[in-house]
Amino acid sequence: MISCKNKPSNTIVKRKIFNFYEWGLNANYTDTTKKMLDLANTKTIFLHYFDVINHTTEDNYSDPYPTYVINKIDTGFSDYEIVPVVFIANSVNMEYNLHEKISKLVDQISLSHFNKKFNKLQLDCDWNQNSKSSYFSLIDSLSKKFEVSVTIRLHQIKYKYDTGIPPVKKGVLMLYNVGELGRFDENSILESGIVDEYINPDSEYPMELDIALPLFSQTVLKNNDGNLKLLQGQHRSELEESKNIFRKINENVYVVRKDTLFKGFFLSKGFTLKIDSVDFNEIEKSYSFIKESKLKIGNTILYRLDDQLINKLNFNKIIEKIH
Amino acid sequence: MKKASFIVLFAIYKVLLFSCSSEPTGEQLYYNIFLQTNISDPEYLSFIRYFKFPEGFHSNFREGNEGNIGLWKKYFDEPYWNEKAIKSILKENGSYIWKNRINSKEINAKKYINFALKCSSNFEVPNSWDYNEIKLKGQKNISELIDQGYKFFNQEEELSLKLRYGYQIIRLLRYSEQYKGAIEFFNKNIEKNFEKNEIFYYILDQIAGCHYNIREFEMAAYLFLKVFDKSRDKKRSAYISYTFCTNSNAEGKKYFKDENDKIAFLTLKYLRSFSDDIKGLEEFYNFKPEDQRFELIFMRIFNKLETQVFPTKYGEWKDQLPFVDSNLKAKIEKMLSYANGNIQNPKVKHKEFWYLSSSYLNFLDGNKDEANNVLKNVKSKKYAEQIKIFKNVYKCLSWTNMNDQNDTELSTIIPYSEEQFHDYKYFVSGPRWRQLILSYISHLYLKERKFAKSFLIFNNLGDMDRLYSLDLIEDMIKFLSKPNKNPFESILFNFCNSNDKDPLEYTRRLMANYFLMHGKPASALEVLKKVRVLRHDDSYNLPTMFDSRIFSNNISEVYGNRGYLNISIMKDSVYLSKIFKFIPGEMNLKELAVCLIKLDSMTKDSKRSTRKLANYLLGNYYFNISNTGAFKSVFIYYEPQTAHGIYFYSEYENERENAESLIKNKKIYNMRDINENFKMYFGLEKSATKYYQEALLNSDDKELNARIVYMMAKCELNTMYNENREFSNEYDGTLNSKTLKYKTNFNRLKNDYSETKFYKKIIRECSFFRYYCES
Repeated sequence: MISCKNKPSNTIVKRKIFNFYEWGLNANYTDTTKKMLDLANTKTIFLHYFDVINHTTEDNYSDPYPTYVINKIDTGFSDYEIVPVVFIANSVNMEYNLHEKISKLVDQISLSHFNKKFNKLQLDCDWNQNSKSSYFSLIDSLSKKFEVSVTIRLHQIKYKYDTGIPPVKKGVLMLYNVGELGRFDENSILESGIVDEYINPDSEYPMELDIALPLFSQTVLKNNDGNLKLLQGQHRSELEESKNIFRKINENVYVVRKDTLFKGFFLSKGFTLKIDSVDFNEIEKSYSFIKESKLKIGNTILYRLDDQLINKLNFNKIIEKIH
Repeated sequence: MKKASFIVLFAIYKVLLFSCSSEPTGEQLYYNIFLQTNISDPEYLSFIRYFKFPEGFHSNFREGNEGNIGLWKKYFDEPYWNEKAIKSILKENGSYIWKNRINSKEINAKKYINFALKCSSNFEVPNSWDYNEIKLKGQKNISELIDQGYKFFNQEEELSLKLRYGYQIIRLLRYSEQYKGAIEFFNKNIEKNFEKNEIFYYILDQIAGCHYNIREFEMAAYLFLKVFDKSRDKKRSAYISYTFCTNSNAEGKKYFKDENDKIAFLTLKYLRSFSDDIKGLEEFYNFKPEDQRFELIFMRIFNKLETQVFPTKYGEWKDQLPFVDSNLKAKIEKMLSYANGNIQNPKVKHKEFWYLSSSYLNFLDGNKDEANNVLKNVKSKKYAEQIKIFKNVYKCLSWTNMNDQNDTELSTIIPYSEEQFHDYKYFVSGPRWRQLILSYISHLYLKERKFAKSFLIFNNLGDMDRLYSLDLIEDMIKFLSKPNKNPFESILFNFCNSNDKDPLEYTRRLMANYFLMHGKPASALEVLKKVRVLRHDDSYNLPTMFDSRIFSNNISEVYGNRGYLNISIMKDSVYLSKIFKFIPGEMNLKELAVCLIKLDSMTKDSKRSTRKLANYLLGNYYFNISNTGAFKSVFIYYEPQTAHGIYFYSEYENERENAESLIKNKKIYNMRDINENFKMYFGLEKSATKYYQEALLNSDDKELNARIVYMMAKCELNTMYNENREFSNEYDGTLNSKTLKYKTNFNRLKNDYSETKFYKKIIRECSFFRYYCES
């Protein structure tokens, strides 16, 4: 009787869940991380465990081995559901016992940091027509032990007849890095116009898809020959502070006025820099294309958990835009 | 267990992740005419873009330890200790080399090498799938080894071995994160006490790493620069490590002492791929143009220039090669001024490099005569191959048209090869300069509508059957029939000639096929009159015999392997009527053409019933040879790699323009990659529909009409597969906005012919139709 007093039935609001990717050698859990995950109503952390790439031996034989293996995981992550994520390079020789190796290492990492094994696993691989058969067979083998989900790129939705449908019940549609780096008039991280080229109202896919949205920024460098390099982060304040070196052309593009060393690159006069940051309107528009299609949408996953970046973002705005 | 060297560098992953480049990669995509080995100092070759070591050229260079091996040779100073023996003892399995080697030098060296191998085993990380092994990287037994190393260092009196022990100690200290200890040991025991040989720079490389780890980036950068400049073996790793220092805005300039430091800095700076080419040349030229490292920077930029003047994408090629726009012209002229400046500069020793550069730049700038004049100044034998390449390229790329004289000259430049007889691949797998010339020549031929010659430079004659370009086929017949072929034409002709295949017969039959698919049997017959063998010839796997059931039809679908002609299902027997008794049970191509001509004439017959049946048979013929017909592979020989074994337009041609159209509309530079742009869809189901419609117009026979409408429905289904990729792989009869527009004849059959016997039969046998009627 008492407990019901302050709980009018019509005020229960189902909060949207925003899960996160954690992608680094050290998974740090700080006070900021906790606040952010609380605000986002996060239930699941998709934790990158390792990459699988080919190591070429002296006799030019390629074997798949793990690299960029996670080293440290703070205990704070134990409060969430953990889905280990393994990136597999498309060129990897997905030999017959690769599933056993992946499975063993995933379990070792889980036991080492969480003292238990997990029953879910996510594979991240930009497979194509040539690799689909071996990749799908790897998924099948791993599915005997794990509930496997996979990442899916836009082209794999549009060209599903070529690339095939992976044998899983659930996927994650990656809505980032969709643009062309060299186009300085568009955002390379997420441009709704490009999403529109791949997803239309008739687009469908035979499984539920979580949607992975970008929460990161980058700087694209272009030299006088049109060659490109990519820098992590946006560095806007440093560009703004050095007005004698960088001239602002428009909101996101700067041109180098005089030679300088910047983040490890010797920049000469005439080089240009483009800041690609998260654009909430683009996220909203892209998300709306997905919603208007026949795709079955699940949760939202944000890429990626980064205290420094999150501090700079108005996270409430993202929550507001995606509902 | 396979092992990989443990490279203690810094956050390599991120750098690799973010070091994408829009430049073409792969040596095979790049036309290298100016040979990279022309530079004076081969130690730097691995820094040149796309450099690939020629066969037999400094083959040990790529191992990156020849500086070390040179020091060992000097130490032993005995013929027994050649390069091979030294390489063996540096590996764990080389102990047999020591057998019977007993002098004190050898005993001491063996003691050191055993110690060094023990240390190395600690620095190697096994490629492992075990988490514990991955985490434990080389942290075993380090302190014990350091103690042992100190002891050996103090005991050893021979200076070069003592220095080597010093190197091991510093390595051990660094990898056990005792950075300051390593620096202190170096300052106190090494820096001023030893000759600055290769091992000294091995040590300096380690010390630079220690400075980096204690965040003394400027010092680290300076020392890495020194190692880059002086070391033979550690040049590349120091170069990479230096770039990590620049991530922290450190360049080492604070410690620069002399002119050489600045030159090393300029070299490293402008070797980096993301730098300003011309600015680098200018800065270097103004500072010390006579330094041999200027050649390296020049060569690197030259190679990049080659990727621009000879673009790797053929779509970017213009009429004339080299392709030089105003920006490139400015760049070439600037480079030319530096090359000519160095020719005049008395301080420059290696003049021939600059003569070669000047010659090539003059050619790229459009001055062929000057290019040849300047080339005369190069006399050294070692440049003979380069001179030959330049002369050939200058000559061939100056041609604006091809004639007998040029063809003959070409046959001497790119001569006939006995071993490569019958194989066009001789042309496409040769040196890049030769491929460049042939690409250009193929272009000139194409421009002059000499399609056959343009094609044969890069393709097998047999590839024509997937292209079905009438222009190409016509010109091929002309080329093959030409008497008195010039020497280059003879080479091309040899590529298509073989003992068991007659190229002319094959090409003519291909042309006949083309006409037989395009409703031109009379033209086919004209061609076939010149074909000698019409039966029993398996050449090129062309089917020569046709069953008369090609004029029949069937109700069931004929999916499956293209090579499988399932004609037993052809049940319709109209073609057996008396009026068609001129159709033999089995026909060759010529007889088929005659039948088609006769049937065509019957479609204009005064008797309506004759017109009806002739149109019906022709409808059957065109449907049967379409890609869902029972005779689908009789004219299309190329086997597509699809799940269902059938070629559909929606899967191929709608994504790339076919060869026939590309050739006709002059949309390609040459015929190098033409055999990917095949043409295998001819709209045959649409030709069939036209005949079926004519048959209907001339018919009052309800039963036959019902069957004709059903056949037209099959044509519609064919069109649907060819127009829609999503249905070509799998279609279950679904009816929706996309599929309904292909069901007009199902609708007609349902509404107008439901009283016929055929209707009752087909609704029982055809699940698609049944589903349509029930929905």
